[in-house]
Amino acid sequence: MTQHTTATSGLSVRSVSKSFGTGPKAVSVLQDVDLDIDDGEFVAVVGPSGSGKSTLLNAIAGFVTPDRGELLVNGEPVRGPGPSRCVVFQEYAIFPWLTVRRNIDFGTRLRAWKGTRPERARVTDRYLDMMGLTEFADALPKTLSGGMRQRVAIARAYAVDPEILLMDEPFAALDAQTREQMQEALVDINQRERRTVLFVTHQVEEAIFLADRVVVMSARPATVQEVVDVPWGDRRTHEIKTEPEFVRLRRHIETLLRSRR
Amino acid sequence: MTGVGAGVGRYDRTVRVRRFEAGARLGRLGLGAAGFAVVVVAWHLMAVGEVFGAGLLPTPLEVGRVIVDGLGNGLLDDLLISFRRVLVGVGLGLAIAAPIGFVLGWFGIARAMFNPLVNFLRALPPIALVPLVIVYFGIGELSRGIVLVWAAFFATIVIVYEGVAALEEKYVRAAQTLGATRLEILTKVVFPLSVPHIMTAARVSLGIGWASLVAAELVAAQQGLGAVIQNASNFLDIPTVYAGIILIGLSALVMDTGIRMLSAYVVRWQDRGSR
Repeated sequence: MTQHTTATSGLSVRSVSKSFGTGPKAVSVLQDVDLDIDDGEFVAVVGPSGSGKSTLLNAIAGFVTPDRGELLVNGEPVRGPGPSRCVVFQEYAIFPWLTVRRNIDFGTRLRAWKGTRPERARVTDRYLDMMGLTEFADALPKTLSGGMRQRVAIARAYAVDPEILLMDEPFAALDAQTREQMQEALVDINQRERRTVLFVTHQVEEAIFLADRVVVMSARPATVQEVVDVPWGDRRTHEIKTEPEFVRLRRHIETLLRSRR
Repeated sequence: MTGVGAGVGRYDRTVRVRRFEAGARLGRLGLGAAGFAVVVVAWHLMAVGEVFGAGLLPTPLEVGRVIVDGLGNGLLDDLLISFRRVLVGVGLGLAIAAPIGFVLGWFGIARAMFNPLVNFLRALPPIALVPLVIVYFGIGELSRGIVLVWAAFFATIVIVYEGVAALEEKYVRAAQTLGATRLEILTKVVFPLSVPHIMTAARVSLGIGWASLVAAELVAAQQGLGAVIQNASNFLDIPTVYAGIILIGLSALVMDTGIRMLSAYVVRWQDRGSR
């Protein structure tokens, strides 16, 4: 799992740097960040708040252009935002004027999508079902709770079948209980349909619970401090959170995060 | 699959709130009527007490009689003509201004170029245009129309372009990462998001339209509620002046209620709770 030699499949980030502002006021946010994510791998990125983890995600998404370095998805350089790197945002970014169903098939109704009409319906039905949204298919977002809205956002992202899913603290605005339910839902859908995922969070526990590897970023300017392998494979229930190994990993990462502030 | 339960609870509550709102709406209607009643009673007392001197303030009953008699005798035509002028004038103003506002909102350069100009022109009261409009376009229906279209145009253009310029970036970004082209973002994201602003513009424009109506009908109109007021004041027929004023107010109220109901339907997706 730690073999990352092939640059043609998955995501590779090669010494990416980015600063905002110019002259003496320039703030260096990312400094020579290197990161490889294999096809089908779930990688979480944690870092102190205000570190460049969201900037890194935005660079991969194509919203931010790095000053230096290279971003490759399946060997192709990133040029602007596109459906190969679909983003689930922290703020509820589902379209309020569309029903749940129309939100989920938004991407498959665009010209960029190559499937047929019956395929579109099948795809939409599948993700409605997987996210437990079938009975809310015709509901408008304003009638949904925060957790349900993020379920719609996740289903919408899966529906366009991206090469990599980018999740930018998608559960940060949710209460603790809903958050755990959403983590389970994400584990569930990801085990049924393995995707390449980059998941940014500031919660160490969430990162270990979800990911195959946890990338620990340093404070600004962010570099990769350490990459921690997570050993549980597909066994992801909330019970693992109390196992000694989980607690040890968690302490280790939290110490790393505190060390360089 | 867990977590569905929380969602169900929220859904039920929404339905219940809606039922509660129906009762509240009836209560508001009653309170609104009571507000009118207070003014009518005060008016009646002032008329009977001859506060402004004998014969200068008719009682509500007298004005009511003028309206009822008049409606069977030509006043209804005046009312309908004014109604049509406002609808056509405001409709045209909206139809021309909404696309332009859309473009100004979406393209920053266009906005920077035209924003000061629009704010200059919009500050001019429509009545100040009347002399010029008569000079260039004569005293026909066209001149009256131009005054109304002008009023609606500038109210609409500002509301729409400010609305479009302030669109939430997150929806555009979400559409981009789903694969939307620039054109698809415009038609599938920016347009739906600007519909509430277009509805607001329609409502404001209708209000301004009725306010400008008298100005428009000062342009030598033979018919219309503005003309009725104009003619009656020439003969010091004060009850008819009041009748005209009240009919303008009522018509504006009816149109406003209509547009509000339409708006509530068209933008029913808006979450009023969090706005």
